[in-house]
Amino acid sequence: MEQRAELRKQRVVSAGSGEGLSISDVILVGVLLAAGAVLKFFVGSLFSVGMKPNFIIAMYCLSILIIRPKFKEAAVIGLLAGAICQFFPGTPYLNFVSELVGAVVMAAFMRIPSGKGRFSLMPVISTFISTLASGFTFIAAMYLIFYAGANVKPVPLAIFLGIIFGTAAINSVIVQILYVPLKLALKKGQDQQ
Amino acid sequence: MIRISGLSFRYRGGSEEALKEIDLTVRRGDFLGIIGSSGAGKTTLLHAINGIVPHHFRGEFYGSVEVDGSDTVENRPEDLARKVGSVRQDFESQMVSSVVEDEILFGLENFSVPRDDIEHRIADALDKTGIANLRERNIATLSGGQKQKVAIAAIIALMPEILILDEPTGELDPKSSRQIFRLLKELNEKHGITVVVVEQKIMLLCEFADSLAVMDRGRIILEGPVREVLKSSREMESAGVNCPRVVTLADRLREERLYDGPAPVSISEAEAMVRSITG
Amino acid sequence: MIGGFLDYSPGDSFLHRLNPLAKIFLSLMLCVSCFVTDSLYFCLFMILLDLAMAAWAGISGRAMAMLEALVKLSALLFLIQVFFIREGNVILLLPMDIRVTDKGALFSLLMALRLIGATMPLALMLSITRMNDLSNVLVGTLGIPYKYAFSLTTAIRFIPVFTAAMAGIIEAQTARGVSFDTRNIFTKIGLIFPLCVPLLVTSVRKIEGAAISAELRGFNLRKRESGYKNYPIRAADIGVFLFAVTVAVLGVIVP
Repeated sequence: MEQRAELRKQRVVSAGSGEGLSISDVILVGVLLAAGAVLKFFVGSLFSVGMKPNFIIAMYCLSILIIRPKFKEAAVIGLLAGAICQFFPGTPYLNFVSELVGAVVMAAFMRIPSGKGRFSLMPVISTFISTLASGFTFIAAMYLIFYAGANVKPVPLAIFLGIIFGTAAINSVIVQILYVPLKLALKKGQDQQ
Repeated sequence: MIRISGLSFRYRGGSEEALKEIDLTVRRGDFLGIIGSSGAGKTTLLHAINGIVPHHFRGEFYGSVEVDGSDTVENRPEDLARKVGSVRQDFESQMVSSVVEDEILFGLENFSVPRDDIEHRIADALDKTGIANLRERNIATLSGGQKQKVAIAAIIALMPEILILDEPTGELDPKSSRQIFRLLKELNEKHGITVVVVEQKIMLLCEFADSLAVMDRGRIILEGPVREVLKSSREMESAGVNCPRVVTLADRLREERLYDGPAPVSISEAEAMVRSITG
Repeated sequence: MIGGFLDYSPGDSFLHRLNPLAKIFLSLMLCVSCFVTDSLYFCLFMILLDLAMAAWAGISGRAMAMLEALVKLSALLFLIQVFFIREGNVILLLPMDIRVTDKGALFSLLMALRLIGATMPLALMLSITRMNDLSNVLVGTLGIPYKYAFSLTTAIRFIPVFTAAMAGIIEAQTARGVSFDTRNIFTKIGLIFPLCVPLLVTSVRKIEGAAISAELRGFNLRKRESGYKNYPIRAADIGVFLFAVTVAVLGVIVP
C-alpha cells in the first residue's frame, strides 16, 4: 500500500522548453509561407494591377502574430519569406531586404502590450504598418538600383504610393479576418492529439 | 519491455482524466492491439509510452511508465525514441521530405547514425518493409498504403525495439490495411520487434495480434490474450467495440452451453465451431 | 508548381552537378552584372548566356517559357517608364502631351533587359538544384541553423500540395456558379476567403501532429554536422566561382 501512495504523487517534467522557435513554429511558418505563395499565384491573378493583396507579407505577418517571436527570429522569418519570393518573376533579391524590414516591424508591434481577451485591432494596425514598411523598403531599394547614376527623372513615387497603401489596406483586412480562425485551428489541433 | 503502473493523466485544462489508473505490462516480442471507442484514451496511452505525454503535452501525471527500464518522465521523447519508434495515423503530415530515400535519411541524420552505417540501414529498412523499389520515388506519387509503408520504414531504419502505431490503417482500404498488418506481423515474428498498435478494425487485431487491451473512458477494462478477451464480447460491446459477429455468436453459444471452445478468429475456426455444434 | 518554376528538372549536366553554392553564387553574380552595367548589349549578351546555359542543362523549353513571362512583365515596365522620361529628343509625340524621347526609350529598354537578365539566372539555377541539396548545403557549409532550412523545405514541400488543393477548390466554386470576374474590389476580397480559409484551417490543424512526429524522429537532436550527404567544393565549382566574378567585373568595365 505504501508503494501505491508513492505512485499517487504527481510527477512533473523538470526541463523547460528550448529557446527560440519550436518545431511547431518552424512548421507553421513553412505552411503559411507555402499557402502565401500559392495564394499569390492563384488569387493574385484575380486582381488587375493596382489594388492587390500581397499574400506573402500577409502570411508572415500572420505567423508573427501567432508565434510572437523575438526580433532575431522575426528577421529570419522575413528572410525565409524573401526566399519564397525568389520563385516569382519580379525583381530578384530585393524581397530579402523588404520582407526582413516588414517582419521586424511586425515583431516590434508584438512588443506593445494589448488588452487580452477583448477584440483587438492589433492585427489590422500592425499588418498595415508592416506592409507599408516592406513596400517602402522595396521601392527605395528599387530606386536605388535602377536609378542610381542614371540622370533621368524616375517614375513619380505617387504611382507606387497608391499601390503600397492599397496593398497595406487589403492585407490588414485579410490578416484580421484570418487571425482568429487560424489561432483557433491551431489550438484545436493541439487538443485533438 | 513496457511497464505501466498506476498511470493517470489529465491534460492541462482538461476537465476529466484522459487516463485513469492504467496498469499494463508488455513483454518483449509481444504483439498487442489496443481497441476502444474514440475518446477512450488510446492515443494518450501511446503518447505516454513515447514520452509525448508528459513532455510535449503537459498536465497532471501520476504513476509511472517504464520503457526497457527508462522512466518516461525522466527521459526526453527524443531519447526514448531510440527504443520506441512511433508511427502515426496521418502519414501525410509526418512526412518531411519529397523523396522516399530522404524521408528515411531524416531520422538517421537526426540521431547521428554513423556515416558508414547509413547506407545499409536505409537498404535494410526498405527491404524489411518491402518497398526497395520505391527508394527514388517522389512521395507525392505514392498510394496511401505505400506512404504508410514509407512511414514505417523511416521508423524501422532507427532500429527501435518497440514499434507503436496509432491507427496505421485509418486512412487505408481493406487490402492495404491487411498488407500493413502482415508487415507488422513479419517485423514482430522475424525481427523480434515488440508491436503495440491502436486499431479500430477488430478483425485485423483478431488475425494478427497476440494480445488485446480494450479501453473505455480512460481505463483498460479488458486485457489478455486475444481469444481470452474475445470471450467477453458483452463488455466489449458496452465499451463501444463491435466484436466480429462470429465471436459474439460463440459467446452466445457458450452462454447457452452449446459450445465451450475458443472464440474463432478465422473462417476455418468458425467453420469448425459450427460443425462441432451441428455435428 | 507555379508555372513549373519550382519543379526540379532532373539531369546530369555539368551545371546540374555543380555544388549548390556555386550555382547560387553564379546566379547572384550574373544578376549583379546586369545591374552594374549601363550597356544594352551587355544585358542582351547576358540573356543569351542564360539561354545558352539553359540549353547546356537541357532545360531550354523551360527557359523559353520563363523568358516569355519575363518579356511580358518587362514590356509593362517599359511602358510605365518610357512615358515619364521627358529628357532627350522627342521621337514620338502622342496626344495629351505624352511623348517618348530617345533617351527615355533607351533607358527604359535597358531597364526591361536588366529585369530579364537579372531574374533568369536564379530561376534557372533553382530549377536544376534539388531543394534538399540546397538546404543541406545551407546548413552544412554556411552554418544556417537546421530549423530555418527545415522551415523553407517545409514551405517548398507544401506548395504543390496546396496548389492541387487550391485548383480543386476553385473548380468546385466555379461549378457552384461563383464568378471570379467581378470588378468590385470588395466582392473580390470576399471571394478570397472561401478559397483560403478551409485550406489554411485544415493544414494548420495538422501542424501539431507533424511537430510531434518530427520530435519523435529526433529533430531536436540534430546538429550541424548531422547531414549525411557531402557537398565538396570541386575544381569545377571554383572555376564557376571565378567565371562568375569575371562576369560581374566585366559588367563594370564594359562601356
